[in-house]
Amino acid sequence: MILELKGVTKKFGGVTAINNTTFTVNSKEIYGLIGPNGAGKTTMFNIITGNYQATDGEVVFRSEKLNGLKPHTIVRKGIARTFQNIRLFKTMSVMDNVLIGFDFQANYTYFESIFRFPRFFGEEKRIRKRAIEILDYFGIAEFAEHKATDLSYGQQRKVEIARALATNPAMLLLDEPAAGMNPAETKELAHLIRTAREDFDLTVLLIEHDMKFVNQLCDKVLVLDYGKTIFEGKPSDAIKDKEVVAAYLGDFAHD
Amino acid sequence: MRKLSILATSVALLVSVSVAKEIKVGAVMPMSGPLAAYGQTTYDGIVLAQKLQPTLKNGDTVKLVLVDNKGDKVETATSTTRLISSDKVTAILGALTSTNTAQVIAIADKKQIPVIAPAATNDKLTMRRSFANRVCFADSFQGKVVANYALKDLGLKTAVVIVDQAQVYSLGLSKAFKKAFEKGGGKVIKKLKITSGDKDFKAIVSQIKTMNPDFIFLPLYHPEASMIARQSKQIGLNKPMFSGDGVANQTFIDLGGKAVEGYMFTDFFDYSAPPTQKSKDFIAAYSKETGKNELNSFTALGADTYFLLVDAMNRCSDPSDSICVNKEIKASKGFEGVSGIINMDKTGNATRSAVIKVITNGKAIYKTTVNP
Amino acid sequence: MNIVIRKDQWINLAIIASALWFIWFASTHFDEYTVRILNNIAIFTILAVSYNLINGVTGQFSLEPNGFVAIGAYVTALLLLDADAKDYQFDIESPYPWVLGLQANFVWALFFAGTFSSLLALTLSFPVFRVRGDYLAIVTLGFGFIIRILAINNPEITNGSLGLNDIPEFSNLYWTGGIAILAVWGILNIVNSKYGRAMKAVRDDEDAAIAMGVNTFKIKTFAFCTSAFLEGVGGGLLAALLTSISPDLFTFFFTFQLLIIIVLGGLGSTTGAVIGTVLVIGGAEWMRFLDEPMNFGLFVTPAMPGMRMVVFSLILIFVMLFAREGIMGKRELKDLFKKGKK
Repeated sequence: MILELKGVTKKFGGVTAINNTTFTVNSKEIYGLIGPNGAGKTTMFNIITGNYQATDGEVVFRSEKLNGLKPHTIVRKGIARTFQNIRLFKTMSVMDNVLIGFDFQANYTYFESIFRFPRFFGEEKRIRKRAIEILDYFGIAEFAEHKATDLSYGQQRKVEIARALATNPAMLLLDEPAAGMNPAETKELAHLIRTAREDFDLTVLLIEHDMKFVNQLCDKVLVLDYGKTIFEGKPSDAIKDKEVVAAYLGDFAHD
Repeated sequence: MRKLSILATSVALLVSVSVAKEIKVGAVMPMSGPLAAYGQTTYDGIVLAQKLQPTLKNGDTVKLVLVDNKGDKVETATSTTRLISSDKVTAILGALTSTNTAQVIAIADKKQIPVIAPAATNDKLTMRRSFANRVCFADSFQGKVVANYALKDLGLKTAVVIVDQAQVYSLGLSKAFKKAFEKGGGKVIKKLKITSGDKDFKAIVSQIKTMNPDFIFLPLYHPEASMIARQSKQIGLNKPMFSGDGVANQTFIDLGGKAVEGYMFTDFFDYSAPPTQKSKDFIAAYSKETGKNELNSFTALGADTYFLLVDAMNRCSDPSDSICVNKEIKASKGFEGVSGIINMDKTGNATRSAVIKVITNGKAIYKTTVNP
Repeated sequence: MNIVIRKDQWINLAIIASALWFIWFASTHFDEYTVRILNNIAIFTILAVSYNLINGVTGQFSLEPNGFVAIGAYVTALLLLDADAKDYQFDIESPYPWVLGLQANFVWALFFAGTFSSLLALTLSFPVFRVRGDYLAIVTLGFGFIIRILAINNPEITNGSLGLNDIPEFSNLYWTGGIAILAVWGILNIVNSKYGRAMKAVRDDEDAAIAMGVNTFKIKTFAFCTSAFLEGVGGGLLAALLTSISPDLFTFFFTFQLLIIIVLGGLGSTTGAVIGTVLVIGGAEWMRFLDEPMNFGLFVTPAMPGMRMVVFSLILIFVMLFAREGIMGKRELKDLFKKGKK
């Protein structure tokens, strides 16, 4: 058990976005959060990453309570995320985007960078080497010096994941990673996530709408509707559940 | 047409390659920016003066080199350096405000180039400097003029002073007034502080009403002075009001309206009472140029910087010798200027008269001249 | 990888060496007017590259320079003037005894100027950067005003609107140019480090930056305090160049001038800020001929003071319309030499 949400509730004024949700994610699981739009999936993500604070309940990661911690601190505890609409740093190169992920692990001070102490050179060399390794893993090392936004959509998605992996996370949160992709790209992405899980020793929590993708990839799913859990279990079982079907109102027919 | 222009150019060239030298005189003035109105008015005087007296006794011509300092200190420094090292001027006229003039002097003094300021009145300007000069009176004199006039001529014994702490002019003049007034037996009940840009003086004028002084001294510029005058009348505060030359302009009267009836102020000069023959001639020339004969003090002072300089240059065997010119400026006695008779002293200060004017029926009427 | 770094370093050393040589050459060969302009350019370069760090690189819209430059100028002036000079000058109120006692040599004076500005920036950082939202602009705008008002209203410390005069003229091309070189080098080093990356990340997408573990409060504070430090030092150099300062020097227009420079040069580009400074400060001087009568052969135009500012403004508008990112955009000079990366 790597992540545990216990009785988590999130209210925004009078609106209850998440209602008393409890679930656990086990180490090296690929866990899916699904549900219709507005069900509270992204809110759930934001609570885990510390962007929102839960109104009630506990978020426990690796036996440590995350409630009240600042987002950048939570990253350093081992949780990284990507965004639904690919938020790469637009003015920076692919390499620099990935380096950002490494930066808090680079051991030199402000002073040392201004005056170019030896430690600066050593650390920069080290993280650059690691950045190239990750880019290589994703097959995009040749684009390292290109501006991030010059790459194709699919490649940008890879950069974003590479950047998240640079933070050396134990758990990766992917927000609709397959959004905007055609079936071929989706298949490649699923394969990528599965192998990355092994190679980087990751647990993956993802939000998705694409049920085929979820079926291919997830070990377990949690189905949300209006902030409430209506199903937890295997994806193949989810489709058969009456409540889940009702919530989606025949969306599954398309897939 | 082409042959004619070639011929004309050659003739011009021949003529210019004559024995007479061209002496360059620099002018640093705010010709653009917030002080542009004052700068342009002053420079008009210099230009007209140069037109009336373009050559020296020995035949050399005087060329004006104008540099616009935009009223800014950094620009002033650059302008002054340019005039001295690039244009190689013999002397510099300007700048307008005391702070910018101080900047000009700081640089020119080190380079031994004389500076003649037309309107900068701060006492400290000429202290501990060898090449600083001015044709206007200093704050200490102006303060004395007001103090003595109030005490002796008007019998006013107590005063409240309103100081604008953001303006060097106001600070200097109020200090000089207080010193002279108290020396003459008067009492300054209180010094009230304002900052230029303020618009609401209700608190100030109410305070003054309670204090009930014989008169109010406002060493301010016209925007604040006119507003205080209005707001005073609004609460029924009708004490005599006196200012320095900071209100010596038509805008003050326009802004003040009825509230400034009876308002008194000191000025350098009044065109309706021309103090010298030079004044009369200059007013005539000015009238011919512009069609107006209301000669402004700034214009008159500007002209005087030029005339004084040329007068000093004429007493030097080499008019481009800055050291001699400076010496002669300081030695000028009984100089007949447009704005009056000017006696310079070795500190570079001018001893000269002031005029007192009263606003009557919407016009600034000359009352009297106060001689030093 | 190794060989690339060394080649880069050789180029940098060559640039710095030629800059140093130029400083020596200008000091000994150029006339005073040109030297003064070069001094102005050097000082404004320091101000521009540091202002660009918070505004351009970190993307936090700030209007701080006039405030910090004023502080730097006053701190330096008070430390360089001796007790006698202060006693003589202070005309509105007598200076406080501790003001009279302030004294330090030029290096220390500049250091204190920068440090004091930096500490003030730190105190401002806490209320402003902790809260999300664009309060920085308003806070810094107000800060600039407050500093000026404080300078006017505390004549026992600053001599009010009379200002401080007869400041010893320590600034020369070696100081201004030397510190300018250090400033540009230092800023470029920051930009090309993890801190610079983080600053750009904050600019590009603050939320994503946070999501990647960047402590955005810390980064913004670093950028802001660094800017303040260099602006304070620049203010000190300015005081020792003009030899007299007064509150009316440090109005909003001063900040506005710097804003024009960094936008023209390219918001976010350090080399752009340098180019912008040269063009604006040098250019404004060069364009003085527009103020004077111009001889076009057949006719002569009369002197039109202020014309150069009109032309200058027109050029600015032109640049903003057709090259909105400024001259360099976000690129640095070295990026122009990179072979066709697309």
